[in-house]
Formats: sequence, structure tokens, C-alpha cells
Amino acid sequence: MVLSALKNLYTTTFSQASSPESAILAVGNNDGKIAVFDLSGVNASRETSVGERLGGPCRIINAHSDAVYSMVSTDAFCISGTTGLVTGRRWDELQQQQSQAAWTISLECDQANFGTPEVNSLAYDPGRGLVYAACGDWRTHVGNLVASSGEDGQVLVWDPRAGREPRHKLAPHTHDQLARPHLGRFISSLDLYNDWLVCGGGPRVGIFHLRSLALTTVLPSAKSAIHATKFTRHAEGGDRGGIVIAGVLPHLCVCSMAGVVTAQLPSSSPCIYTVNVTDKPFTMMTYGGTSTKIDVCFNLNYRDHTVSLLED
Amino acid sequence: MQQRLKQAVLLEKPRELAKVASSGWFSGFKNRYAFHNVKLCGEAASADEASARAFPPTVKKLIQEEGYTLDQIFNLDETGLYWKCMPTRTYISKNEAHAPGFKAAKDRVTVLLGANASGDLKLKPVLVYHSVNPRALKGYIKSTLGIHFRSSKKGWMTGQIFSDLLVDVFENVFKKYCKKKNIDFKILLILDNAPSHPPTVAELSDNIKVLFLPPNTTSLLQPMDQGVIAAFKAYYLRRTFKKLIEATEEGNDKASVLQFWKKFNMKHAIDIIVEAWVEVSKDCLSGVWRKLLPNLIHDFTGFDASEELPKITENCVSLAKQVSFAEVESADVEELLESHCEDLSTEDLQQLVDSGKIEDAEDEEVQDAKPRELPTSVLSSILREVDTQLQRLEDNDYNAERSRIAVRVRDSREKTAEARQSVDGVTLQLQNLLYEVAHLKKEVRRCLDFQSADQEIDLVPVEQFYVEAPEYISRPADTVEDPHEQRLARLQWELEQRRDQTQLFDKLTQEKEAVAETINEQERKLASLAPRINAILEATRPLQDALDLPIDAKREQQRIVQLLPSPLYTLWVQASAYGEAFDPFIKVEVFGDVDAAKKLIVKEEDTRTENLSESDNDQDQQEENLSRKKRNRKSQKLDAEDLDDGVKQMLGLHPLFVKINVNTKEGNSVVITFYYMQTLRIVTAKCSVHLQEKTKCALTDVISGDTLLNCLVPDDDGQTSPNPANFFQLNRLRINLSDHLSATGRPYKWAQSLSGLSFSSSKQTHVSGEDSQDTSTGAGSSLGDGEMVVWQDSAEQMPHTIQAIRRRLQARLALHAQLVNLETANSTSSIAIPAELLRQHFPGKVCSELKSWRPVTWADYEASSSTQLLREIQVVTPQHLLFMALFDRKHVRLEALVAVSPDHPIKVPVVALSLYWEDHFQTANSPQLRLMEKEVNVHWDELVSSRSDRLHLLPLILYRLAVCLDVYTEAYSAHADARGPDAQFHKEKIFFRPARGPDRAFPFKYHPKLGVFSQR
Repeated sequence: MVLSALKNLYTTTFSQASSPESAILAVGNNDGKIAVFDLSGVNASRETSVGERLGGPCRIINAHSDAVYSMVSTDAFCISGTTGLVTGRRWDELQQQQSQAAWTISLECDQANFGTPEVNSLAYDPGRGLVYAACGDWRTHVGNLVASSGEDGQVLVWDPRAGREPRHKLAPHTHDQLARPHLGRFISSLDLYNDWLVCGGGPRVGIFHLRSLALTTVLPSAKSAIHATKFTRHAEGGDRGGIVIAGVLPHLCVCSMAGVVTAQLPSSSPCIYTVNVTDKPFTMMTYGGTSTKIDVCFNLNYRDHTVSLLED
Repeated sequence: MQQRLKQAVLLEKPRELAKVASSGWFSGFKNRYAFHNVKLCGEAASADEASARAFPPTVKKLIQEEGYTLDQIFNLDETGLYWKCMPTRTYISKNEAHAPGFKAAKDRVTVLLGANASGDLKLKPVLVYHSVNPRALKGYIKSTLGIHFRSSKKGWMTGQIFSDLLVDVFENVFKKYCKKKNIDFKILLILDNAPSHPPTVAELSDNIKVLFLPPNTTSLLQPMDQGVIAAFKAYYLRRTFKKLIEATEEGNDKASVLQFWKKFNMKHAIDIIVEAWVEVSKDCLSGVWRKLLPNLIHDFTGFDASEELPKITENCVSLAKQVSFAEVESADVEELLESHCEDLSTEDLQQLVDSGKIEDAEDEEVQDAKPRELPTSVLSSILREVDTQLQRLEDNDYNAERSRIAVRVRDSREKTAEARQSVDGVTLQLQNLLYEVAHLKKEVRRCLDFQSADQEIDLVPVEQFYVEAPEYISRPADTVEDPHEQRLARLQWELEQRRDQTQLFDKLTQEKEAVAETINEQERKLASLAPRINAILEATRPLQDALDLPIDAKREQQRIVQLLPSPLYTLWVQASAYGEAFDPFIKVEVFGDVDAAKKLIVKEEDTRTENLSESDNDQDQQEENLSRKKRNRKSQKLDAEDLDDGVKQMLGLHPLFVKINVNTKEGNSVVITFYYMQTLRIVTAKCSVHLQEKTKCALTDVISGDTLLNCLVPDDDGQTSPNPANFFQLNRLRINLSDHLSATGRPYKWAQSLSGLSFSSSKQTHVSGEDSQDTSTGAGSSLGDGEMVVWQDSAEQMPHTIQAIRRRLQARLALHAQLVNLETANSTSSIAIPAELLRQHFPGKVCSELKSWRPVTWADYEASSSTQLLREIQVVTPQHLLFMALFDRKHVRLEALVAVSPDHPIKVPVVALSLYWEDHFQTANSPQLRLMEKEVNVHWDELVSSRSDRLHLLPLILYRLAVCLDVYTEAYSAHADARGPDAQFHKEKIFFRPARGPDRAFPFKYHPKLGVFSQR
């Protein structure tokens, strides 16, 4: 008991994926487990505007032997990445309480780098039906373009149609406004929206205009490292589009494109690694990190409630 | 004038009569002045001639219209009658002024007479008397008297009586008459308008039409007044005289006349009235209607009262003469006849009221009397008598007609007697038959209620019967079809079986007695054996001493053991049993004040009996209550001495205690002394450790007796009583048990279970299986057979506990050595770790140094925010031994708060880290530091591969921390730019990637074979 309590104490939530069609939210942690939440009750209650809370996980899948570092959602699959493996599970099977993998891709083993590379980020290109996995040092994100960032502090924007050379290169840590040398130059998170790119990590969070490659806005953020940056769309519920910033902070910031903090949401995790925002059928934001809990918001202005990831 | 004269006469008369003056003058006077009209009888005095003339045509018209015949026209009228009256000149009257026999008011009765116009129906006369039940009629059935007897206060007819008569009697009579005559039942009843005839009588019956005569025409028109009443009275008088003559026939002297009058009573009078009324002829009855219905009475034969009455009067006089009333003249008789109609004077009324009282008194007697009976035998003897008398009369009588009547009477009487006899016979027969019916009914009922004897016998079911019963009893051929035969057969089988069983019973009883006898005999033998055995034992003692066998010592111990309280006894038994069976290193002994224990037992028994008697004695209880109140008051005052006494009593220990020596192979020993707290009913333990070698003292004492056994089982600190009931006892006296632990010893939970005491735990167990087990043992201990369960419990616990104590001692000795070492350590290399383990788990070089190691208090521990989560999930509790370890690497300082469990090393030390490197880092704001903490707290198992390694867990963990600090600093430096050159740490450890994964994990994991670090 003491041991499991201690173990839970060091649980970290790394990734999330959700499927509005199947009304499922999947949350992966450092123990290789994916907690599956059933959102149908919440969905129904949002329509009737009876504020129902998200219950505990309806099941917990032992997905991987190592941490579930990243997850991405496609129309049919919930794709999770761990050390050396990318696995896809069908949403409808998850809905039916099945947990076996539909497919698994084993990544090439790079012995030189000591051990298999971990899948730090996954991206999906619905237009071409491709999944991009960023391994080892690398992070990628997909819009019309693919952008990647890494431990070396470089942000590379690729056009997958164009070939092997990156189209743009950015180095946020070279901008004085962004640089935080004592934290490091790594860029842990970036997001693309039209011509805009937001990224953060060791350096502060900044918004770049991809056509001019100019730093347009420096977003205010705390002194510690950033692990999640995200553009949110203009949601139907009247929420204005904005940027979500989270990291080694016990709270989550929502900023406007102009860099003004519009909301600061408290977090049950001292450090946030994953933020998942859906705008269909309604705005729902879930975020988690270094704890056994995730926080749930139904708009970007305040935290609605907190859900434990542990099975009762 | 006539009227006035009459009134005067009325007033004068009683007085005159009282003076016994001759009243002949009055008659003479009347005769002389021709006032006396004999024809004007009764009420002739008050007459209205005019109305009388006008009435008959009205009547005639009515009769013609309605079609009444003479048979249907009736007249009723009352008349007064002095039934005991004689003419004035009779001797007897003269002799006595108020003699009975003269016209006294109480001798007046009213007689209602009635008949129809044809004279065909003579209604039964109605007699109205002033007394309800006259003495003379005592025992007679009134309906057999020949009259209707009624009574009213004055002896007059009243409206009520008349109405009742009309409805109850006359209507039926009329009806029967009409039926008999075969004529319509419609009656015309003519009445005078006297007050006794209320107008309402006209409405009483549909079939009777009542016609009232006009006022004051009665004397002129009323048929009854036209001679019937006069004739009746004359006949009455004549018959009275006749009776008198009969009575005085022989003696003819006055005394007998007097006697006759004395005897003459109402009964005689009624007889005479009946006879007199019979004597009134049909012609007379018919003739009197002449005046009212002049045209209807055609066949008038010529009855004339004016002619008839003088004859009768003459007759009376002659009769009176016969009875030697020579002075009686016809005038007297007339006067008497007339006086019947007179009203009563006031004096008369007074007299009547007085005598009424007397008669009333008579009434009561009469009512109580039995009605007279006339048994057939008496009747027949009377009739025989009558026959002979009549025969005599017939023989002697000169009057042939009279004797004929007598003979006729006799004949009718004989007939009556015959009829009566036949009726009696029939009645008797009926009685017999009724009795027979009742008897038969009773018999029938008895038959119905009858239950044959075998109904209540439980018989073997039919199927079983056929299976079990032998052929000769069951006879299936006969019995299957015939239920009666079957029943008989079953009954026989039952009888058979019962007989067998009775025999068996007798046999078994005999056997039982025989066995009892044997047992008794053997018991006697056994009893005689005991002294012999004692003698043998006595004899062996010198031998024991010589051979140094501790048999007796053991027995001595046994005897003391018997005085132990039951929990300690259980403990003793189990511990010594375990010692004998498995563990020669365990020694169990009982010490203490044996005498005190004996006294205590005696006292306990006393109090038990006292309690029993007290429960009966309310007064004692009240006194006790009083004293308790006093005590309470005192305790409110916080009387120190008293409280001390209370505390002493509350915490009192049993004088005997059990000592268990647990020796280890190394020669160390733990001595545990178990005490029993009598009031709190718990077992406490004191512990002392005896070491072979002296050890250095450490700042934290982990091997002293008090701490050694702390948390031998989880959460068992021995600070609070495991008996929930004690909470209240202690609270009342405000005792904090933990303040007294040095005196009492600690009430460890394991000590309770070793002693077989089980208490319900404050925490509910959630596993249902365990729960039921718990409750079963809990319930068992309160029951009698729970003893076994308790012992079993204790026996199960014993080996575990002894083993745990041994292991604990070993662990603590090791810990003690480590602590002594750490307290003096000032570098990582000085941490005492076996070289083998060091090589196995750690790289050769460690840069971070252990700077200091010191114990901290719970308050210090609590104050640190880095420990918050650990405290919240209760991984670390105040029970833990807490230390602060400081590691330095240049300017980087790592503070590790180490919590060593009392159950160390079964439970692993837990660390909480905080890092000072420019900023103050904690696990909350540094994911990497969190991972480092996880490395030691969760992955400690990589450091120990065996149980013996585990004893070194604490130093291993500390060493690991030092290595991790190296990695942290180096990995951090690898990607962080632009620190001061001296602030950077050169990478000395081998790792490929300083950070990995979204959380940028540092490579804390060491691969001893490769000598490299990696992320997990």
C-alpha cells in the first residue's frame, strides 16, 4: 500500500487524445497506462446545460511497458507513442471496452544513441493520411506545413510535399526577448495556426509570423520552462481564440494573440505536460502533468473540476 | 220538591240508621203523599220528559236505516249493590249500630248489567269492587267466578274500566254471538250519558255503534232501568234470605244468624249475583225495551216490573219471616232495594277510605298467596260428597223441582269431572311423551358426541403399515378394500408395537440401573485411590531432591500460575508451550506477590457475592449513589489526593506478572514483562534489552526497551489503550495513559492478542471475509466456548510475535550501528557500506559529499514543505524516526529529510528532497528533482537483492542520493547555457542524453555493468 501510494505520488500525465465522435478522452501516463474516459454523459449534460462532471476513468489500459509520451487522435484511431513503438487503437473498440492494439509500428533501433528512441510527439495529416512521429530529440507539429522543434533550440518548418530540406529555420533562443539561457535553449512545444507559429520551452513563448519569419509577440510567462503551447480556435461558445501556455507552473495561462493574459487557471499538477482542447461539440479543455489528476474546463476562463486518473 | 226531599233524606239517613230508629215512617210518609212511584226505579228521579219523548223516533229511524235486528241492539247499565245488606228491621241490624250486614259504604259494589233487546244474550255481569284482591276471593281464579271482576278506588265504574271492558270483553262476546247466530257483526249499543261512559267509547270499535241517551232521560227510556235492575236486586235479596234460611235451618237461633253474616263474604255475594242474574228472565229483558222501541217489541208477552216486583218483595218478606225476622215488612225491602241506587254520603266515603286501607293490607297478603288448586282426587271426593248430599236432598226434598235441578247439577258436575279426568289423562300422557322426547334428544346428542377410543391414537401411515406389519396382521386381502378392517388391523399393529416398545423400555431401564451401579462402585474405588497417590508423592520427594529433578518446582510454578488473571494465564500457557515445542531460547516465568494475588482472588469472590446481594438491596445502592455523588463533588474540587487514589486504582496492576526471556543466538536477549491492568482490563508489556557487548550511544536511541517494540505490528505504538472502553474510564479521571507508560508498561496490541484479549478495532475492516471472522472471534470470546478460539488466536500469534521480536532486535542493532556511524560521518565515502554492495550498485567516484546527519523532530519535519505530499498520503507518520541528511556539491546543496520506519527495514526509509542551487527547488517546481526523489523512494529495490542486504538499506539510499546529485548537476549543466564557468559542472558520469521525453528526464538510472547512466 505504501509502495503504491509512493508510486502514485510520482505519476506523470504526458499525453491526451480525444475523439468527439466516440465521446472518448484517452489520457496516457508515465507508467504506460492509458486511462479512458467516457464523455457521453458530459456531452449530453452540456446540451441540456446541466453541468455534469466528468466521472472517473471508465477503464485503464495497460498500453505500453514504458511511458506513453505522446498521443494523437485521427478519425478512426487513437495513436499512442512510447519508447520505440507507435500503436493505434480503434476508437470504437475503446468505446466497446476493448483494449487490444489495432496495429503497432516498431521504430528503428538506434543503438548508437543508447537504447530505443522515444516518440516525443505525434502529428496527423488528415489530408494525406500520414502520421508523423517525432523521435528522440525531436518534436513535430503539423498544419499545412510540418514544423519541428528540438533540444537544439531550432524550430524547423517543413513542407512535406516539397522534399527533405526544411523550408524555414527559426532559432528562438537567439532572440534576446525570448532567451533564458539558465533554463536552456530547448523548444519543447510549438503550434501552428494559419501563418502563425507559437513555440516555447527553455526560451519564453513567442509568436512568429511564418511569411516574414519575424517574432511578432513575446508572451508573458513565468520564469520556469514551458512544456505546452497551443493555439485555440474561435469556439462556438463565444470563447475568443487564444493561446494556452503551460509548463513548470502550478497554473495555466490563456493569452490573446496580442500577448495579454486573459485567464490564469489553477492546476492540480505542479507541472503541466499536456493540454487537450476540443471545440466540438463544445469547448472542453483538459490538462494534466505531474500528478494523478487532470483538470477539466468547459471554457477557457476557469477550471470546472478535477478528475482523478486512478481507478477507484 | 221531590228532588229536594230526597236529598234531605239522603243526608239524614245514616244518622237515623245509626240511632236504629224506625224508618217505617218514611215509607209511610212516601206512601201517604204518593211520592213513591215504584215504577220510577233507579234514576227515575232525574228525568227530562220532553227529550224522552223525542228520542225513540230517532232510534227507530237509525235502526231502520242501518238494519239492526233486536239481537244486535244492546243496552248496558250500572247499578250499585250493597251486597251485605238486610232490610232495616232485621234483628241483627238493630243490634249493632255499625254491624257488618248493614248498609256500609265498603259493602257497596257496582254491578254492570247488560243484554240485547231480544233478551237472547245476557252479558256476564261486571262487578266493580273497591279492592283489587279481596280476601274472600283469595285463591280463586277470577275468570271462573261467573262475573268480570274489576276494581276502582270507590267501587264505582270508571270510564277507563268501561272502555277496557268494551274492547277486551264485550266486543269478543258480541262477535262470537253474531257468528253463532249467523248474523252480521254490527252492534248498536245504547248507553246513558253517565260519566263512566266517556264519549270516546263510540270510537273504540268499527263494529259497535254507540248511541247515547239524551241527558236526564235514563229513568224514562233506559231499558235496564225499566225493571231489569230492580228484578235483579230483588232476586239477589231473595236468594240471600234463602241462604240465610239454609244456614239457620236447624238451630233457628240468633247466634247462628249472626254467625252466617260473619261468614257471608264477597265470594258468597258473587255466587248470589250470578244466580240472581240467571234468574232474570228473557221476557223481562225483552219487555223493558218497550219504552225505547215501542214498535219493535211485537211479541211482548207482558212482563211488567210493576207487577213482578211486589211478588218478589212478598217472597222476600216471607223468607225473612222464616228466619225469624218477623218485623220485616215489605216497605223495608223496597226501601233497601231502592237504597242501592243512592249516592254515598261524605261519611260513607270517609269510612270507605279507612276500610280501604285495611283492605289494601289484605290485598298484599292475598297477592302473595298461592292460587288455590283443585286436585282431581279432592274434586272427586267432593263430587262423591255432593252426590250423597244430593241424594239426600232428593230423598228428603218436598220440592220436586228443586231436587231435579240438583240432580241436573250433579249430572253436569259428573260430566265435568269426567271431562276433567280425561283432560288430566291426556295431560299426563303429554307429560310422559315430552319427557320421552327430551330423553331421546339427550341420547341422540350423546350418540353424536361419541368418540371411539382409537380416534386419538396416532397410527402409522397406511403405506408404512403395509410395508412393516407382518402378513398375519395386515391381511392385505381383507383390509385393502375394507377401511374398517384396515383400521382394526392398523390398531392391532399399533398395539403390537407398543407392547414391544414397553418391553424394550423396561429392559433398557434395567440396564441403565446396572450401569449406574457399576459407575458408583468405580467412583468409590477411585476416591480411595487418592490418599495412596499422595502418600507415594510424599515418598518421592527425597528422591527428587537427590536427583535434582525440578518436578516440584514446576508444580510450584503451576500453583502460582493458577492465580494469574486469565489473559496472563493464556499468555503463560502459550508462551511456555511454544518454548517447549520450538524454541529452547525462550524462558517463561511468573513472578510477583503470590499472597496479594490470593487475597485478590478472595476479594473478587467477595465482591461478586456482594454485588449479588446488593442488587437486591435498594437502600445500599442509594447509599452508594450518595457516596458516589460525594465523590463526584470532590473530584470537581480536584482533590489532588483523591484523584491520585483514583489514578492509582485505575492504573493498578495485578500483583503477578509474566516474564518472557527471548534470547538470540548471539547471546543478546530481550526480556518482556507482561502485566495485567485490572481496572482497564488490558495487558501491558515492559521491555528491556540485554546485550552481550556494550555499544556506543547514538543520538537516537533505537534499542532501548521502550522504543524497541514500537510498531511491531503496523500502527501499534503502545501509547493508547486498545480497549475502546478505557477511553471513557480514563477520560473521567482525566488520565492520559501515555503519561504513565513508564510505570505501567505499554499496552501493545500484539500483547493483547497474545493474551487472548480481543477488542473491536476502531477502524472498520472492509473485507467482508475478514469482517465475519472478526465478529466470530469477538462473539466467541464473550461466549463460553470462546475460550478455545482465544487460545487458538494466541497460539497462532505466538510464533510470529517471537520471531518478530527477534528480527526487530537484529534490525535495531544494525540500525543502531548505522546511526552511530552516520552521526560521525562527514563524507560520502565514510558511509559504512559493505564493499561488495558498494561495488555492485555505485560508480567508483562520487563527487557529492554527505555533510551531516542529524535527527530532527516531527515538528521540523512538518515544517518543511517538501514533505507535504508524503505526509498527506500518510507514508510518513510521527512514529517514524526522522533525520536530516545534507549533501553538498560545491555550491549546490541537497537537503534530504529521511524518515526511518519503526519497522525498518521491512518498511523502507522515505526521503523528501529539496535543492538549493541559486534558487530553492523542490519536487513541485522541479520535475527532475521529483524524478530523483522517485529514484530513491520507488526504485530502492534495485539496491537490495537479499534480506541481509536490506539491513544496509539506509546507507545505500544515502549513497544513492549522493550519486543522483552528481547526475543532476551534470545533466543540468549539459543543456543550460550561460552560467558562470565555475557554476557549471563538468560531466563526469557517463550518460548519452542529458534529457529525454517530454518531461526532460535526467539519466538517474545506473547500469552497474556498463557503468553508464540512463533515463528510466
